Amino acid sequence: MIELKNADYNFKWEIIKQEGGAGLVRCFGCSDCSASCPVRYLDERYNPRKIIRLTLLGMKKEVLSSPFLWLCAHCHSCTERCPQGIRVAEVINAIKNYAVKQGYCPEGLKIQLNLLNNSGRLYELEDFDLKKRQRLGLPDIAKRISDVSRIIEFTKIRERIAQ
Amino acid sequence: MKRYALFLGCTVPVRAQHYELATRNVAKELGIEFVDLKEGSCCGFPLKALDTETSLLMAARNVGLASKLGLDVVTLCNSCTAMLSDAQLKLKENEFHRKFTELGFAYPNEIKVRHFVRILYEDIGVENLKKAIKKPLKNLRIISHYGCHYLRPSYLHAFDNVENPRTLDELVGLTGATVIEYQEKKLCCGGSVLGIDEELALKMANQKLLMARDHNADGMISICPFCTVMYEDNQRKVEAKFNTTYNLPVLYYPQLLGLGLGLTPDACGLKFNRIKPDSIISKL
Amino acid sequence: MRLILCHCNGLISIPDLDFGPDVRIEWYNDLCKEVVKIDPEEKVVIAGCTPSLMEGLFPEIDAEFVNLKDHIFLMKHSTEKAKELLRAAIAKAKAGPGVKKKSFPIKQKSVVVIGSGVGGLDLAKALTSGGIKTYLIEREPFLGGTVAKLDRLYPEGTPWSHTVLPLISSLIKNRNIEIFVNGEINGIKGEIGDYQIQLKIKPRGVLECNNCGKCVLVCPVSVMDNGRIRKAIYTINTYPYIYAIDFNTCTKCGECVKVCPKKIDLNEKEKITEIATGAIAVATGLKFYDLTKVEEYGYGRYPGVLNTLEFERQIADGGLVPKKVVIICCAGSRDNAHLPYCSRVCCFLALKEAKLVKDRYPQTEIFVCAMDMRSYGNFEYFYTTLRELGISFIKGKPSEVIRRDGSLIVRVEDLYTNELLEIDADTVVLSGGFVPDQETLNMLGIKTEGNFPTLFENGKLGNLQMPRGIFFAGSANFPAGVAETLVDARKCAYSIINLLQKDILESTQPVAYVNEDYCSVCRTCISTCPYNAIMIENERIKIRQDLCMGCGVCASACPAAASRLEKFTTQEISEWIKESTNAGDILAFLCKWSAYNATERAAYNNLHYPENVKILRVPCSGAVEPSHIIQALNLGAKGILVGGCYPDACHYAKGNFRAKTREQILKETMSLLGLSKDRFRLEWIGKDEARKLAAILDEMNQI
Repeated sequence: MIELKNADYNFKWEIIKQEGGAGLVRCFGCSDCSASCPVRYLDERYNPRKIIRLTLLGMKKEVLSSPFLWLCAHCHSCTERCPQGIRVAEVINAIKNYAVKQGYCPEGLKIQLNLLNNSGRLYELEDFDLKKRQRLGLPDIAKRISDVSRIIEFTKIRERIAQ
Repeated sequence: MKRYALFLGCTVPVRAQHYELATRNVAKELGIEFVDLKEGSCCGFPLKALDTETSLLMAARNVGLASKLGLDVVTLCNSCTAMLSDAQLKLKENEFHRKFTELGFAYPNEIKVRHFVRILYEDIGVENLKKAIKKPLKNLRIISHYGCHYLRPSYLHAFDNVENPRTLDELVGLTGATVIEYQEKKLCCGGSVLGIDEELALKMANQKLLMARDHNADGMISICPFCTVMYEDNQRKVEAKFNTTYNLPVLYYPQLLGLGLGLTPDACGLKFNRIKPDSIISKL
Repeated sequence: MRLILCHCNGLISIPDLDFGPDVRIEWYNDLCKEVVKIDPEEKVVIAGCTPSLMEGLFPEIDAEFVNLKDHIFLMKHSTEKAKELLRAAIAKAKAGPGVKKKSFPIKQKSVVVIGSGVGGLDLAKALTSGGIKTYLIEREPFLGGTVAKLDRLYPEGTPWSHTVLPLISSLIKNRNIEIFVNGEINGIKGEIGDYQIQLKIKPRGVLECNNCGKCVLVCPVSVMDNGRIRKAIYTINTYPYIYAIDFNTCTKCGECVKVCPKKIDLNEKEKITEIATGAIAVATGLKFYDLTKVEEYGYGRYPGVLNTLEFERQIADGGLVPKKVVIICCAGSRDNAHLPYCSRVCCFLALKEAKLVKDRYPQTEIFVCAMDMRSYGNFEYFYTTLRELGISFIKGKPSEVIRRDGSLIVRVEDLYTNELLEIDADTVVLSGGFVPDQETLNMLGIKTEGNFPTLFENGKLGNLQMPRGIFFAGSANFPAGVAETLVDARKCAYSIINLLQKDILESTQPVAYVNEDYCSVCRTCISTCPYNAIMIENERIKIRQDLCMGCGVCASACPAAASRLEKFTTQEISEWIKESTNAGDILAFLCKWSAYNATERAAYNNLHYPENVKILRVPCSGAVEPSHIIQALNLGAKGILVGGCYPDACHYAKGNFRAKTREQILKETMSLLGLSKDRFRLEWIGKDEARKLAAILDEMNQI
């Protein structure tokens, strides 16, 4: 049993303000998203409909702290099927964005952020890679792209995670 | 001569040079010229879950590089395609464009973002490609994997038929190979959840590998390095987990097309495939 | 000019009234009861109680009304204010030409009924028995429409023939009716009361027939007709009682001609005929939404996936004996990518099909997947019956139908149990939604909302007349069951007979018109009109007087002040503002459908707003022009209130949204002119929201 008196009515409006969160409140709970979901097909801990419905009920803590939120593969099967035109995968992603701002950030994402901050690429170009490229006749590419760390600084995402 | 700005992203130049090699060689054969975006970074997709705006700004910066050249972008990875397309649309929004220019970037020319396979389908065309085939790959049974972001979300791509896609099958078919018709072409490889839950990701990959075996496929065609990581690089792990053997070669489409165009297996980078496609080479 | 005042049985009296020698002042004790003769040509101001009542007391008169009762005497405001309001009304009446009387002669006393389904037939029966000459046009070679294709009626399953066949037999010998089958409307001209319709009669091929059926035996062409196979020459046993050739599929091989004992002409020509009519009734019914567009359900790709009609016909035929059936409700309905609306009948159409199977094959397993089972009224009993028959109901929208190992698999997450299910079946039935016959609607120039005619077009806005003389019956309005269709057809017949009894249709309702001297044909007005009443004719803007409903939105949107609303022209309004506005006043432009009613409610509820509030009754908040507001502010008004209906509740569809979009621009203009933006307010005020209205006016007065 969940007492709704602890629910946060404004939670859904917070999510709507996030990039990609639009349309969330149009959900009428038809379950097409979850029936289309390849992740839910194999693992019922993840259910996009349930995440959206809990969000609409204002159950902020339950949604944001759920480790299953991060199981969304962002495959957009749900988006294509939603009869209400909700971009479901984008909404789930918006909830992830919000979770990050509220201090729920998986370690894996932090590592990716650091990698990108350092070189602008997920995989750094080692000398070995460069030599292999030369051997195959593939053109040179920049080893580091510093613009990426400028963008990361600009959006202050590191500071927000640190808080 | 058709010219495009080639965007490689993170994975292709480091982990999938054979894909890049085959693509460049096929392009040369077909009279496609690439201008390299040497300063191209990660598309931004890995950061989308963290902060969509950051990821879109990264994507937009890459779009901006091509825009300065006035060339349409060609991508080799499905997720890069979706991410860059999203940014290209986003640049039309004032608020986003303001931040973009505040960072010192520019988007002077309206350009499009498309996957290389889509360029082949739309700009070269099935008929012309068919004419260019020198060595029809008659003995091969091929199962094609589209991957999620090649077509979805349809509001970004507006291409092919999301529920019942055809383009990749047509492109495979024109090489002379037998196209395997199967249900649920649009299944996801599981790559996006690999970092969160490996077991689940392997289960997802296993689904399509099973289908390939059920249909006696000689090989699978992928058009995304992300998907190939799941079906090829992790195939041994899937086999171990589900106590089975697939040994299914996974080729990038340009590798298959290259063979059909008469390029050598080396020119198609076949020796770098992690599951050795010897069975395919022997059937040529 | 005349000023007619009502004492309202002693409530209202104003001493020392004098508006100059040309205004005759007359007092009456009770205008509700006393008979006052008014020359329609003379200008007149009537002052007493609310205009919504007085408009009804003087329907033929174009008068200016002043609401002394609610705005002065019940509100306990001074007689000085009353005099100002009267002076302003007189000035307004003097300034303008007022309303031109419109009349539309009803020359033709006949009706064309398009469509001969159960709605068209019943409508034709009601009209002909009312003595009206009726032309019944059917596109197919036989009468009966969709209903005659069915096995049983919606939803309980009575045979269709017991409703349709008596209707047909009562009609065919009626001397007031003329029936055209194979008829297609080619063109249409004219307006209400006098339409000319050009009708194309397509060839039937069979000229004389004794129903021997030999032709069917020799015809080599088999055609799939909604799930049932028939020959290219066929009959469906309604009317006419002769066979017909389907020339879309006939190969003209001539075999039927050889065996026919009567007369077949494979080269029969089409005929064109003209019909003059006073009114048109659209009874075109419904069409199945194209389910091949709902790709994920595999209709058209997998042979076992059928729509409800095909399924019903195959079951009734005995051609299909299913073991396991899944029926999917809302296939493509309530879906932004397909039909965003609920087609209302498909839930119970699904249950009708389920019952049909259970009646024939009690052992067949049936699953019905629905997001929501929409059973209203007595349908609930039928729903219970179906559960008692053992039908399995699943709550949820199936994501897809796939094929595996020779059977169809429906994948759905059941919201009752929270489980993801894969249901295997040999037959999947898609209960899809419906669309109207768009071709006919386009031909008639009918504006649609979603797919079906707008509320305005199908006359659901009670107090408005049917402007075009075009009426809708049954599912042409919106998908309906047979019982609802019959009721609707009779209502429709009543309205038509009512219209055709008149020789001239008259109206003193204000409408918009174009002052061609100022019009630059920029077409802004065309996009603003909710009724398609504005069009281009000979490269000039034309506003059709029969279609205009007088909202005034086009007039307020016109950048050149060329489009004007009668009684609401710039001269008239600016005279009213000039005469009524003192420095420090608050002017309230209130929509006559909502906010204005709140002023009356305020008076009855003893709520008060300040004396310096002057109220003008406007047709719509979207009709208020920015120039009027600026004028009042320049005259020293300290605040302007525009009050309209809540979002989505506008009487004229979207007038209030126009007002809203204009608000921003107006406020920017005010800033440029150095006027404080707070002096203008746009508010949604419901007709009973007197408290809200009074609070807003008080607040504005505090500034």
